[in-house]
Amino acid sequence: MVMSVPLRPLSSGLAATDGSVAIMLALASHMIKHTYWSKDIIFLFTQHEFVGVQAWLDGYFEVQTSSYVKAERLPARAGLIQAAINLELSGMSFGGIDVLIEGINGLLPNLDLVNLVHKLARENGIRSTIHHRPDLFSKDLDKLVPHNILTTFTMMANLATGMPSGNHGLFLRFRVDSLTIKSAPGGSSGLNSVGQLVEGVFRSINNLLEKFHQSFFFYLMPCTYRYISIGLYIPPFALMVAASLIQAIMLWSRFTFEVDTKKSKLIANQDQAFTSDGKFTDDTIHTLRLPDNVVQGVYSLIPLIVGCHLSGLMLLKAPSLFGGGEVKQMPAADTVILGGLAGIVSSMMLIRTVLRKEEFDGINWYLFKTISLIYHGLTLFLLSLLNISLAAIVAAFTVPVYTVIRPTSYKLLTGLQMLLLLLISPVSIILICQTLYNVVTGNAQIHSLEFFSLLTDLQHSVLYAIIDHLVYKNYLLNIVCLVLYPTWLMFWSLLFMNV
Amino acid sequence: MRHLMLLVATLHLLNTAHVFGNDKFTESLQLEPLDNHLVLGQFKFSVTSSPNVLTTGHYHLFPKSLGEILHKYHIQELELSLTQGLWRYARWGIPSDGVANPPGASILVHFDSELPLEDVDKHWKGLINSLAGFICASLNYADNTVATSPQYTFTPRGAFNANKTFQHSHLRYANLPQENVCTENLTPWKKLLPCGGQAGLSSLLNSKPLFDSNYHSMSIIVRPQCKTSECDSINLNLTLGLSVVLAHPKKDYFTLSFLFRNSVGRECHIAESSTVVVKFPTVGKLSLHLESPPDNTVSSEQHTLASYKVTSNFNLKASYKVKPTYGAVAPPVLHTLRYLSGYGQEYGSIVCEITNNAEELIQIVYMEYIPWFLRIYLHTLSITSNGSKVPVSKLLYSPGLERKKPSMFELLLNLPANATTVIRFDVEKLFLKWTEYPPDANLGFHVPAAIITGVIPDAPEGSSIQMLREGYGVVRFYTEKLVVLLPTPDFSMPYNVICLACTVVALAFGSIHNLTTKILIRPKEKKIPIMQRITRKIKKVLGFKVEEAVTSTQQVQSSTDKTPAGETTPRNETSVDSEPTVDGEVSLEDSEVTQRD
Repeated sequence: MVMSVPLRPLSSGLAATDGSVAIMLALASHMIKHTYWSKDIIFLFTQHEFVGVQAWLDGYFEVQTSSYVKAERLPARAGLIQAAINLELSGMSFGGIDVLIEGINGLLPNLDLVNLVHKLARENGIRSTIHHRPDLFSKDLDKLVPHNILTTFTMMANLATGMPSGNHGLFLRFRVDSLTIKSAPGGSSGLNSVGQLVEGVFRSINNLLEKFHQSFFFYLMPCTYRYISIGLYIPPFALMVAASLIQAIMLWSRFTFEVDTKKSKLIANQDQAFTSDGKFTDDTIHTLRLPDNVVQGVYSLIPLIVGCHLSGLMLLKAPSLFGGGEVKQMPAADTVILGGLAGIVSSMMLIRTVLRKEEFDGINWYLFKTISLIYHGLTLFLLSLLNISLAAIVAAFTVPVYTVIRPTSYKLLTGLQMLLLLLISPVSIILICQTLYNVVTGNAQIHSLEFFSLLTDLQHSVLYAIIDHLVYKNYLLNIVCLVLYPTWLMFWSLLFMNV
Repeated sequence: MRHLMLLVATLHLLNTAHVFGNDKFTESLQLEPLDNHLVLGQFKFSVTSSPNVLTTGHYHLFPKSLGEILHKYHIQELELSLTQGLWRYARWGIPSDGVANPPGASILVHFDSELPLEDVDKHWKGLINSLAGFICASLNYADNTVATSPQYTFTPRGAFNANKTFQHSHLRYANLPQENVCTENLTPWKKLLPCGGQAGLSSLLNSKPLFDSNYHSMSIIVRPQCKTSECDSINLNLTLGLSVVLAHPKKDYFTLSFLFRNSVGRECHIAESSTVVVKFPTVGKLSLHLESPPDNTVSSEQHTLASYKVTSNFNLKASYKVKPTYGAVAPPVLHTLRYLSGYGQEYGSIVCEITNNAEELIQIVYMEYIPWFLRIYLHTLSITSNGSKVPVSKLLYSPGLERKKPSMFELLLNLPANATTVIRFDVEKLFLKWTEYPPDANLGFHVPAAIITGVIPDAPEGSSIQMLREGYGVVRFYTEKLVVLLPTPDFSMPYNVICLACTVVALAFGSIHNLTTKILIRPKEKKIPIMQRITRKIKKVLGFKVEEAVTSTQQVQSSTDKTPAGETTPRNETSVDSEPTVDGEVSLEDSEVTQRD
């Protein structure tokens, strides 16, 4: 068992953790007197927030998660870690506790541990909250349901980023169930009651014979005493994504049907296949270029799909390329962002020019859209098993647009579709979500909704995502660059295909 | 007649006295203050007897139950220990011999070298089963799939016939780290004492403080012992040891009755000597002041040994000269840290860090003993110190076999001075068959402690030096045991599935069985003449009684006795009822249910 407290310098600007230091020292001197402890208890002080925790974990498990954090040999250790509780209590009296559970890459601790903390808090008369949102005890469903939905969304938004909400989050990578107990402002409960709560949590874990394994690891919490299990949230999500799969099947059947009819028509009316001067008509050329079978059709699409993914890979590698400080008089932050944007725009333009080439005339957009939709649907399903919140958010934005996108000969319609696609590009999704989250949680002032502050917000999000990716191995950037962005690029190229 | 009886009684008495003279019982308790408010109590009850007791069967002080086991299985030396907790070398120092034992239950047996080799396994099996019943511990699990025979680590420590060579094939060692120790083990252990926990020092053995301790270990050691310094004849020695680390927080003194929450009542008159020894550093923060003057004091620059003869109602009070405080403790010459590295349920590596604080090389034998559920990769074995390789003088490896025998290797090493040597090798965790998991599968599996045997330059002094001499000056270190999480299936899932499936089957069986095995045949409709129908309608309207009894009590005849459930008959009835009959008049003979094959 691990009890950890982050040490923060006064200048850090973060909430102090003096209360948790007091509780930890008091509990340590209390616990040492008893012989009923069946497990070793590690009291851990960490520095530099996540970096400190990651360094300790790397040292403990003897791995190197990131090349930017190097761990030294640990002089003391215990065996397998069963659970970790991170305490972030500031001051000597609190308005309650805020239980943070979101871990790295959308991992969650076992629900039993979460329930244990909430239940013990209730028993001890401490108000427990999720992301500072207390439970609403009301019989009025009109008030209760929106409140709980909003709580769920706050949790989902936190999960989708893939970043832990507290120092506990990095433990989850090593299958150590952990959570953070944070203090809420106010003054209703003191150190004593929270100390009792923490002792209760440790005594409970101590009494466990086995590792946490029985209950849920996939859940969402609308309030402290209810949960939505994977069995409940997957079907609605599946319905969302099913739209794109259904359309893929429809296009597939239409494609095969069309190829068959066109070819048979061509064979039937061979005289119509030629113009008066004995050449093929345009229609004939088009029909002849249709693949004989599906496999051939898919082969012709491979260069395009690979190209989309290559540009995604380039985008992933761009930060280390542009952030090297080669460009003078410009901070690394700006060069990285501008470099990334340049990469996106250039690949968008490149696709367009490439598709104008003769060799791509034979591509049938039905087949291409079918494959893109199936690819999109499958990646979303895969993602939902790893991080349901991220998958749901992405699906909510992309599925409606991707299903309606089709090449047209109308310039205006094409322009409109381009606008729609740009609106749901990964970059815009980040921007929209950031703004929404700020508005919902009340973090944003009105003036910060201005365009430039939005841009700085975007810049910050992207930079943080890059740092998280490099230092903590958060795979959000990988997913965006290697899956979401190539898919988006595939649909973008769809617009420029022959009708 | 009366005279004769008296004579017999006297003879009998004489006889007893004669053999009793050969048997010798001594008891002692050594108390030693440790850092951080702890006291180590070390009980030693020793019975010395002639080896003839085993063959003649005339037992006196030597426990018969144990003697019979020793005789039956041809045992030359036996070391059995049951330990809870871990002796923390880094904080408590290197103890005298017999105090530190590996966590859980451990058995070390030297079989008589005259025993044929093929009988060793059979005898081992019999022995562990007998001992399991004898001490109420699940030692019977230590069968040949668990036991091993190391070559260098254990050598006979008792008197040894120089004509016979020591064969490690006649040695068996097994450790069950998951074994819990409790009063059920203490009670049979106490019964081996001549005074049986009623008098003398054994009356201090109160199970509550003993088991509410930081560390406790009870042991049974049987060894042949030289009678004289020439060693021309041999005695059989049984030592029952119990070591316990007790806490006395926030007090600057301790008394015997305070530590053990019991006091010495009567003397044990059988005991030839009964002593309490207090061992403490002559100077330093653990130095003690004794309330009552000891009977005998031996003092050196480092340690003082004060001994008391135990009398009725004996008590002892020792107070610290300096008020004890919590704090860091200087580590001893040699200490170890063993852990499982890596995460996940497939691979990992076992690491043992041995720190040598001495100014000279220390030669050790490192024995690693891994159960079969971990596959060890010997090629990954690396022994380094400060990044440079430490040469291995000798490596003895006995590879493990799945479900048959454990892996074991012994390393002969020279630990560099003032450095930490790291021994590391990779293991693969086996995926067990589903019946091989214990009920608490998610608890993890225990890997026994590694054993380090070596001659330590700065070995503890005093009485323990003597003990060390008996063991040829060799100290055995036991490292931490490990808990390994093997890949564990979700055992509750099949249970849920079975429950659910059974419910569904139970609910669906009747109706589906009916649907699939029976066919409903509509009764032949009787053609009623149209006139009759009209008159009947008119009669009905007018309120006349119409013969409708046949229609309402229409029954489906369950023609065979194969109808599975009683409820199916009415269900069939309703289904037939819902069939639109033309007139609602169906005769009994017409309706039938036939059994379909």
